[in-house]
Amino acid sequence: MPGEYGYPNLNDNDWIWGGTLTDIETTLTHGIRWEGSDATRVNYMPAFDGMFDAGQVAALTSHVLSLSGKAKPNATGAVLFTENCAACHGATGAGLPAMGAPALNDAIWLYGGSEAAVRKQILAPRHGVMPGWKDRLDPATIKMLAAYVHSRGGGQQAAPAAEPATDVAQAPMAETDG
Amino acid sequence: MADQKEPERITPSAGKPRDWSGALGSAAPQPAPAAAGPAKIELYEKGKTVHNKRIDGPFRRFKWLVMLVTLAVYYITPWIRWDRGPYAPDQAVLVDLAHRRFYMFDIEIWPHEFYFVAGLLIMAGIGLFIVTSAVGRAWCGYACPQTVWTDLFQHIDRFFDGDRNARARLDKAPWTAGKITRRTSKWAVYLVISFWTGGAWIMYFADAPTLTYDFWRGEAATVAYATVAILTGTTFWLGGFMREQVCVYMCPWPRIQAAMLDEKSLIVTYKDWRGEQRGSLKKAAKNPEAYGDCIDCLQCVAVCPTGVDIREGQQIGCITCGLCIDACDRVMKEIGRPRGLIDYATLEQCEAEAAGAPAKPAWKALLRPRVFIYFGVWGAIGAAMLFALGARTHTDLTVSPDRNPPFMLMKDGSVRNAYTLRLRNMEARPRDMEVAMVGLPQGAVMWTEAVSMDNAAPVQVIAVPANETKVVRAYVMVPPGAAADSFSFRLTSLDEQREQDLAETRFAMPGNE
Repeated sequence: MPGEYGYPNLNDNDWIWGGTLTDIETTLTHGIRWEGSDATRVNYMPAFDGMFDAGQVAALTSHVLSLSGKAKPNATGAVLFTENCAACHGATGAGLPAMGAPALNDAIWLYGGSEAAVRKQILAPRHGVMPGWKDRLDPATIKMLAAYVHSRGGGQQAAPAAEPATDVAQAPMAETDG
Repeated sequence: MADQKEPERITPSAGKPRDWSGALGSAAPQPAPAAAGPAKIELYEKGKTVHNKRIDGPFRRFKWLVMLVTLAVYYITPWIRWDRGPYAPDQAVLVDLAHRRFYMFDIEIWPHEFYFVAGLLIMAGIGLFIVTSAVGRAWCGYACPQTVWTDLFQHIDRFFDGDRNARARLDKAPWTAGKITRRTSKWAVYLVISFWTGGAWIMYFADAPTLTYDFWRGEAATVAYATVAILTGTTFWLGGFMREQVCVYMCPWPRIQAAMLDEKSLIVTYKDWRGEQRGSLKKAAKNPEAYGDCIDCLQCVAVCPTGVDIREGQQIGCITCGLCIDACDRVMKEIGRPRGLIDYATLEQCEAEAAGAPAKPAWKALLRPRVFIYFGVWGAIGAAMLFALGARTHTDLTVSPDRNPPFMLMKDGSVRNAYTLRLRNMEARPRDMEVAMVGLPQGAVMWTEAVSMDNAAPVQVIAVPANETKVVRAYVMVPPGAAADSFSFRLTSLDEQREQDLAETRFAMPGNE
């Protein structure tokens, strides 16, 4: 599950909509921006094409890249970011999984981390769609699938009130031969 | 059988010309009676039931002893208990196919150590070479299961139907109620022994008391019932009816042994220069000069379990059990002649004796280079296996890295690889084992599915159950910017043995795929 361009990698520890077992189960059940469920995960980042001039776009792009150390911070970009982006992506760009706002301060970029790719996403963001599986898989299967995805190396632990399903992911494997 | 082509080798003295066509244990084919139409060509001799006569003597007693020991070993072994602690079966000899373990007293063989079993088979093969070059077909005569069970079944024949002549008479007798009763009761005993034989076999493959209980309750595995049925059938058929036909027509071993025998191998030999011209005591009394020691009493043929006439020379039907020696020695004693007209001897010794050399004790035939060389090879393999067995560790680690994806970029720019670790604990008790990484840059950490990334650390301690291989998915993460390539996992058992094993692998990251 390395993830094609535009599809999130499920092996890493970056989760746009959260990486606990319940988060993954919800995503699997209801999908993302999926018409088939009222409870689907949905958000739409506004397109900023036409709202900024070329200099502002360049400054903002540079500031976004600076959050992960790939460019120098700049004051113009910082102001634009605080006014337009920080509400969802956070002041430091840490993201907000509850809203599906990706972290911008890490090494993982769904649509690419180059300057051109970031500018493109600011001007015309793409909104990927994932179908929910509640009509096609029974709840037990979805739970098993969630445990599997969670087990692929990046699964996050839930807050202290952990759900019992955690055991599934941690069941030890044993085989009898050499 | 090179000696067949040079019969003069053992017939140096005058005697009646030997008919070597009987060397395959059969008489010369009977010419078909000239009936109307073309004569029917018989390709093989029709089997004749062998009714061997009861005999007593040193070789018969030795045969009893070997039979007692081999049958006891076969039937009793699975019932011997052997304490291995709470985590392993307590059966001394157990081939545990389901869990892929082979237990033999203190030795436990895992599937990856199958070379020990291969070594044992090679030793068994060379062991037969030793026995053959030293004492000829002694295996055939005493220890072969076919011989042991045939012997057992012939004793049952004797118990029900009497000795040789009575049995031959009964064979020819019409099927009266009495004969039917005798036959059915005899075959019933055959069947009970056959069933017991088949039943004993399956005990080697499961816990014997449990399997016996399950077997009689009808709850054992189908394969257990099938195995018992097949082995009951083969024992009943091969032991009760086929008997020496198996040795003469079915078994490859007499052929292999025939190729291995040479003029220095011990075989059962009729000393024809002493025995010929054979004739009855009466004839010999009239003309002592013309006759040898053989009074043609046919006792050697009567006692033979395969029904051959040893006086025809070495032949495939002769399993060298020595019963004819017992029979002939008794007769020689009665007529006041020295024993050993039929005896264990080498062809070389026979030639020497025929030329007038004194008889040598048979055991001297054992001491010759071929026997020592085989014994040396056999002993060397055995010693090497014992050494390997003593030196093997009970801890083992194998690693297989994930190939897809080869590496994973984490949020903070660290690179993570995933590995499947197999931690083998060959001790019959649970052990904690420490997994560490050797050759990775500072800051490299690992975690497993069981402990999650929050508990990532340079080493992890994993509890491995007794007698098991535990499969663990492990993640290794190298901090951003650090370079890594080949490294090893090091497994250390956290007990007083502190056994270690290193498993080499590599760390994939951008630029070194």
